[in-house]
Amino acid sequence: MITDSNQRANIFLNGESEMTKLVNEKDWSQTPIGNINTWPASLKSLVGTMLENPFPTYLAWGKYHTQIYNDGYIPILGSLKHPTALGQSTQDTFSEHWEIVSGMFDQVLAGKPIIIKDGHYQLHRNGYLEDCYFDFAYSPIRIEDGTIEGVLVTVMETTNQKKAIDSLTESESRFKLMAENSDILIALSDESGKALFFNKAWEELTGKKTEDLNNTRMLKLLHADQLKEFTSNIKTAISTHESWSGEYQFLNRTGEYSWLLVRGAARFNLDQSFAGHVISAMDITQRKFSEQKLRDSEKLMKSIIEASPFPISVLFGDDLKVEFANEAIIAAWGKGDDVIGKNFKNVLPELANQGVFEQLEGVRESGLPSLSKPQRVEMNMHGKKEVKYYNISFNPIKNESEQIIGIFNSGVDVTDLVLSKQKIEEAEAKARLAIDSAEQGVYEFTYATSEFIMDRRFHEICGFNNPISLERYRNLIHPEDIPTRAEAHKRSFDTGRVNYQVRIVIDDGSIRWVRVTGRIIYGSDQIPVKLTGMIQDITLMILAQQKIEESERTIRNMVLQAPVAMCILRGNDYIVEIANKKMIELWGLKDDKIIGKAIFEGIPEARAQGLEELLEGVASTGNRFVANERPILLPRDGKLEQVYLNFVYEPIGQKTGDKADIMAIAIDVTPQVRARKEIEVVIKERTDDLAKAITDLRRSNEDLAQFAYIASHDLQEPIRKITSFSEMLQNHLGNQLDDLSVTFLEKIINASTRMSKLVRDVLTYSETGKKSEEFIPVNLNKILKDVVTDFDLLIEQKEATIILDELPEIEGIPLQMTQLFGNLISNALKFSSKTNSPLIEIKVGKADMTETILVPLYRDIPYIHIQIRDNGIGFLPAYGEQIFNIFQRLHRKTDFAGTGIGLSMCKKIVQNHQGEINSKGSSESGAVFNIFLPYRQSSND
Amino acid sequence: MKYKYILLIDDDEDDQVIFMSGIRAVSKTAVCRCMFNAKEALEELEKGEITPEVIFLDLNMPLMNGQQFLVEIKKRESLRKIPIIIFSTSSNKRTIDTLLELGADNFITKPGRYEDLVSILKESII
Repeated sequence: MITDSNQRANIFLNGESEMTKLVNEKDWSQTPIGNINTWPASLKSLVGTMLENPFPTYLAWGKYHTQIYNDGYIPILGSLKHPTALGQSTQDTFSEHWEIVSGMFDQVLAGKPIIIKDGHYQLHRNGYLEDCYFDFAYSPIRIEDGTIEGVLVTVMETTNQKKAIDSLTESESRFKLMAENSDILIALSDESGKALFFNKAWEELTGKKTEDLNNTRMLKLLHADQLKEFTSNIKTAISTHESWSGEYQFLNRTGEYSWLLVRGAARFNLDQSFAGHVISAMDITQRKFSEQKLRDSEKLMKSIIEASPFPISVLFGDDLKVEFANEAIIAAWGKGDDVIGKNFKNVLPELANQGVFEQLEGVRESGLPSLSKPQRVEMNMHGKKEVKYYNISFNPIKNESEQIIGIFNSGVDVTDLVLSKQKIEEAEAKARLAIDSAEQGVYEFTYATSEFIMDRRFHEICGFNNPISLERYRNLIHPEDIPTRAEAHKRSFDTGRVNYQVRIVIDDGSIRWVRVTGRIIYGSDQIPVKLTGMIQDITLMILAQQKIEESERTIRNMVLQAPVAMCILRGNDYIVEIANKKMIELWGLKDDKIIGKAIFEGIPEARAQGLEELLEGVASTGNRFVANERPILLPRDGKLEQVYLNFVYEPIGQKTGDKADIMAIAIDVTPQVRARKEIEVVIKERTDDLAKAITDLRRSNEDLAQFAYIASHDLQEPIRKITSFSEMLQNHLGNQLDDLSVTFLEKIINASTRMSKLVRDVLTYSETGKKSEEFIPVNLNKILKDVVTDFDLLIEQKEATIILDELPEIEGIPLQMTQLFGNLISNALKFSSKTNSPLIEIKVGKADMTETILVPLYRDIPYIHIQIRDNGIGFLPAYGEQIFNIFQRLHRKTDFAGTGIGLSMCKKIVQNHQGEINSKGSSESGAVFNIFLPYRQSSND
Repeated sequence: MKYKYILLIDDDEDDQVIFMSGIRAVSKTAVCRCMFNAKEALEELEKGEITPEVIFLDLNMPLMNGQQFLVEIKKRESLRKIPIIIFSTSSNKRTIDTLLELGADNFITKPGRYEDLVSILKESII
């Protein structure tokens, strides 16, 4: 509701804005600046202007900094401060910042305006929280006479600019980061050519820090010769707006020049004005270097190849163009000089059907060099036409990336090789021819005239270059063989044929074997007219035959003399060619009539035992057969006996296509086998016995245990009653009894109590060793400590000292371990000496198995040795073993209590754990008990 | 808990004598009834002819043994609440556990000595 006073004065407050309304409605008389109509004109006009101004504006008027602001300023105030802030003092509204604000106000009120740029506000706008930035301008408000009455705050939002600048900054830094990490050299210059930015890669190259480079003109690094070109490029770029590239030399850190591949472009501002250059460069020094090297080496290679007398060509490219061919190969090809640039296949088409082109392709694909078969080439060498043979070789040429870029083609001269091979082949053929026709010589003898004609071969065989007379021929014959010839001729009169084999002695003394054959040609009246025939040099054959015979004899002897039974069977029927005495014995034969007979005829008993098949297999396949302890029925003393044989069937002398003969070697191993079998039987029996014994034992143990259990229970009952009734009697009779009666009753009670304990002990004893108990890891230290604790009272009473070694963990039955050590310590305490306080030591160490009679169950399980020693009354060594007997006591009951079962219990427990206990006593120095126990109860094997 | 009216079920005459003697030694006022036969005892209990405050029960008995009696008595609503103390020669842990599970309140092994019996009874008899 606009007050009257406000209305009258407020013609200027006409706007529709929220703040206009609020200003109008406010009762300003409650504020330090009073009613509107008291305001100075300058204030009124300022407020009026402010209220209509869309930009956030705010003023603080007067001594108390009374605030007025417009709509635009509301979001800056925020919903907490608006609308309370209207007419309030700045100090109240901004109490939290007042120190700073008042400082500023003071400055402004003193006439110095202040600008705060990029103040950050988070404002709710358009539905979400925005980061906004504002520039705040604080200026003094003067009234008509110039005095400063207030502070005016005008606000300019700079959010957009800030955001733009921020993203620019961000992308600049991103760019810088990328540039720094790049191997490529990057440089930026401004429009004057002054360097703006060199990335780290330049440091690498020039050895100068980038900060230093920034002050050096890049151009200074350029090689003097290239300066002109470079600068012209740059200039052109400015006008063409196009990028340029080139290879330039720049001074590097070693003082030498590096080759850089440079790419450059000009940069332009938005208004197309030139902003500077950007250069990127890559170090290509290496490449340049290797390019040069390549060119050098190419030159070198070319000159080498040129000078070579070997035919060499180089083929490049997929189409195998002759890149290069030296004189030698051009001559070899014989296709003229104009081959460079032509396709290899076109230059030498004749190689097409010789596999050479395929070979070439193969090399290109596989990358492996290859060599062709010898190729026949007709060459003009020094004016002469010559036939030469070459192996053509192809070698792949690869670049650094292992790609094949060409083929190196050369020829290896193998002419000599080929030619000599040919010679050999010719000679062989000739020789064969010669050999074939070598043997037969021909002769003819005319009976009537005694004319003896022969062909060349005949006399050659006889060792003469010219024909010889019959006389001569006859004289050649070895004296020993003369009768043979004579015989043959005599026979011929009956048969009409001559056939003999004799030795002839050649001039040089050597002997040849010849076979002479002949046919008598009869005349009309059956009278022999001519004898025609042939002579053949069969020396080699005879020698070979002799050799065979010799080796056969050797084998024969070998067989006969062998210490084992041996025989040789020949042919399909396995005829006993030869058998030694041992074999005859083995066969159970009385004589050697079997020799020459088929084996199964000689030993019919050996049939149908699979041997025929075995022999067949060996003979046909040529594979040896070995038998081990094979049972065979053979005759022995007229009876058939099963004997065991180790034998081998070895094929010998196999001729291709035929079956091999067989050598058999055998050993009678019957005694060994029988003996072994007997042992096996015995072992089995023993094993069975053992198993049975174990079962019996187990059963009897169980029976025993059961008996003990029942017995002890049943025994307990009457014992209990005896004790109880005796006591009751005692109580009942009370003082009616005389001393003797009391004594009697006490004895009855004591005796039955003892019996009760005895029965219980027997029960416990019998239960030890029951297999139902499981072995588990037992910490002996703990067991011992618990036992010692149990005897606390007694230990204290006797002032006893117990020293314990650190005991290990072993596999055992905890309860039994407790009983074991309990009994031993109880004994040690009980049997202490009257004079000394008991000292009990328990020591532990690795077991020396020689001190025991133990046979360890498993080899891999070590034993532990525990020794318990006391300084008590000990015992005579003679009793050392006895004390382990059940119920055995060394003292009267009245001196030392106890049933005498303790140590036998210990023994049983230790045995149950596969261990041993023994003792050493002396009446001087106390008792020593040695316990041996295995660490584990079962093997890991 | 101290009881005045006691029932002992035990087939052994001697044990009965010992027990009674023990009771007498401990208390002048306690009343104890002994029965040989668990079956009979059960019948009398059901009929209400006998109303003990506690039952001492032997285990090894012919016809109906202690365990069977225990099971039966626990089935009966009116008799279930009577505390049962097993009084037996056995000391087998498994047996003890089973009986306690079946509802026995306590298990006492018959002591070997008369004076031990007396001290046990002293605990529970008025």
